Amino acid sequence: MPTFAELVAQLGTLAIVPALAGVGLTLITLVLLDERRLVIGAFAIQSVFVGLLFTRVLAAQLAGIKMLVGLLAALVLYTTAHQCALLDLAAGEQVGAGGWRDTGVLRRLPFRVFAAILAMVLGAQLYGRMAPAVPGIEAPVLQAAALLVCIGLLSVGLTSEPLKTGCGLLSILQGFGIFYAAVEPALAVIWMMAAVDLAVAVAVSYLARIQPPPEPDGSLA
Amino acid sequence: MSVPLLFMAAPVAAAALCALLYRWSWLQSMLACLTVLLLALLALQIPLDELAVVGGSDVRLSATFNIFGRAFVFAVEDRPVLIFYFVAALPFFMCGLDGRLRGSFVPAALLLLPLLAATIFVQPLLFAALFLELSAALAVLLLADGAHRATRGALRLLVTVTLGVPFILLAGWQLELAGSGPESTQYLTQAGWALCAGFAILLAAVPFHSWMPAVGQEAPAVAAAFLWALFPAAVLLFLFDALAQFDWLRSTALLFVMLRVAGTGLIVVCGALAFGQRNWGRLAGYAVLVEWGAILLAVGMRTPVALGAAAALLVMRVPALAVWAAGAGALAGGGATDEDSLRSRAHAQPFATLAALAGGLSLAGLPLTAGFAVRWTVLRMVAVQEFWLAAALVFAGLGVLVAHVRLLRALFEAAPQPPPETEPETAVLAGLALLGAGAVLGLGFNPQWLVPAATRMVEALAGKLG
Repeated sequence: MPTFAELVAQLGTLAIVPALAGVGLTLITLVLLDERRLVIGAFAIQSVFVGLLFTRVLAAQLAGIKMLVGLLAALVLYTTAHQCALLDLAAGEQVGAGGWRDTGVLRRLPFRVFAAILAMVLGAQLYGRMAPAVPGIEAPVLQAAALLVCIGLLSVGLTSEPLKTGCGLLSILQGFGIFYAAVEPALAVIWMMAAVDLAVAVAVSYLARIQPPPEPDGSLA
Repeated sequence: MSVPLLFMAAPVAAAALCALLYRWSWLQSMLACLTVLLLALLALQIPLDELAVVGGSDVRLSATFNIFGRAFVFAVEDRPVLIFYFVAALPFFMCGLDGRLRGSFVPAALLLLPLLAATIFVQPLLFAALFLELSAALAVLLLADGAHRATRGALRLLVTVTLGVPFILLAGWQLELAGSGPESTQYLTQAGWALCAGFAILLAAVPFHSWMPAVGQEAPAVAAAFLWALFPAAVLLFLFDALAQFDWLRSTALLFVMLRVAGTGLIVVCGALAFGQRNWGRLAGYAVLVEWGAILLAVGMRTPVALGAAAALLVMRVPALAVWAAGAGALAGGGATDEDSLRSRAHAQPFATLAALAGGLSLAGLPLTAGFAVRWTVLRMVAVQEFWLAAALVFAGLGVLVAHVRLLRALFEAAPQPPPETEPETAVLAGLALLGAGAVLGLGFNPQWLVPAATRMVEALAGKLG
């Protein structure tokens, strides 16, 4: 039976282009939807794809650790989102608010799609700058890194909600992490970046938990 | 025994102990005061790479601590900076001696100190940026609690630092490339651009400054002031360390232009915005930013004297911030510090009012206070180079002062009948207020009490600039 690291390495070899497509899809979910648990679910899936992409710049064991750190961060965020959802429910907010059937989300959809397209164009530009700097790295890996940074930035700019901001910040850190691991694969740096990811996840979870629950009319207290 | 490990582990142990003592907040503060005092004394006296007798046995005190191939090194020139971190934390912990500092402030603030210390220990130096990111994540615990549930300021701090850190790390990568290739000039130029961008964001240049006033409005006054005093200082001291270490960076004109532009932007924008503030926390945030602008302007002049003045401003604002926090925290009593909430409070809380005013007016740079003496030196240096900039600094100070006068009028309004309910002032608060106000005035008359210690923080860099 293969070990976890071997499994990650095999999947990374097979699925680099699907991983790029997966990262693109999860990032679009992050920008378009507001429902916290959906967004965090997308972030968890994104962490798996990012872990696979990491296999092209790091040893499989380290890529596996990066994947686990991403999933752990997603777990921290999801637990908080679940607690917040219970509080929202107690405060009278309707179930499913912020999901894909929410009228507010549908109203904002054209703007967000337009902004996401612009961010992707920016990502393509960034990839153009990054590619000559690290010639040994495959194009889909760098494309994913550029997308993560640009759409992560857009996601941070579109919201003031701590958990969604946290997902955006973690996406930026993941994108930067892929690029930086290619140029600085030192173990100490990889551990420090993992610690930063977890610290950001815990910090935004704390803020989300401490934030006052919304009043019945939907506005923050 | 590794000295850097000692300075990083001792506050963590003290924080754990303080967390266990959460029921006795005055005891937490007392323990934190003793810890930082002891660590400051150790930082002053501890021998490096020598044998010392500890508890009857010989112990070698190593200046280096290695982990995962990275080193934490305590150099002799780091002593004044480390002492600054520990001594600057002391007055904020003293604010809790009356048992008012509840929540996680004391343990979280103690945990922040080793992260800030790590920014001066870590090698290669530019990895300090990662410790700044961890500090920002930890600072969130200081800035929001059960009584202060708004999260905008804390979130902005986290976002700002997360945006700035990658640029510093990228600069480190470019520096490594510069060391190994023939195209080193191109790499150094790119590293310079990356450092400028990273430091502009981390040094809270406009428009990345907005976390400071937001934190002032939303967070407990002591936590906000603690962060204003230590976090930007850690970024600037990190920059000083980088300037001292890299010769090419000292000759990068772009960095100093960026500092002057950032300083000017902060003075003009924040001075104008301070004028209209009716919330004391936000006003203090803008006052801190105006002073921060003066500090950046001084560093941007690239002379040893201006550098010494910047370091002195960095140190002199600590007592002002602490005494403001003691007063404003007591006046707020867990609520807001806006004009309407503070109306007529001076009659019931005279000592808290005295402390908040002494600190606030010192931050505004009022003559005869601690904030004036060194700012006057900076003002004269700026006036020689660009008169309009000196005038802008004066007007920015006036903007802060006018907003304080407005708050002062509200505080001293005749008390309505029945008078507003307030907590009675304790003897400890009265003592702290008198001590703090006395210190702010004393430093105004005799800045030499602190200025020599401040200039020692930048001695190594000033020697290379001169």
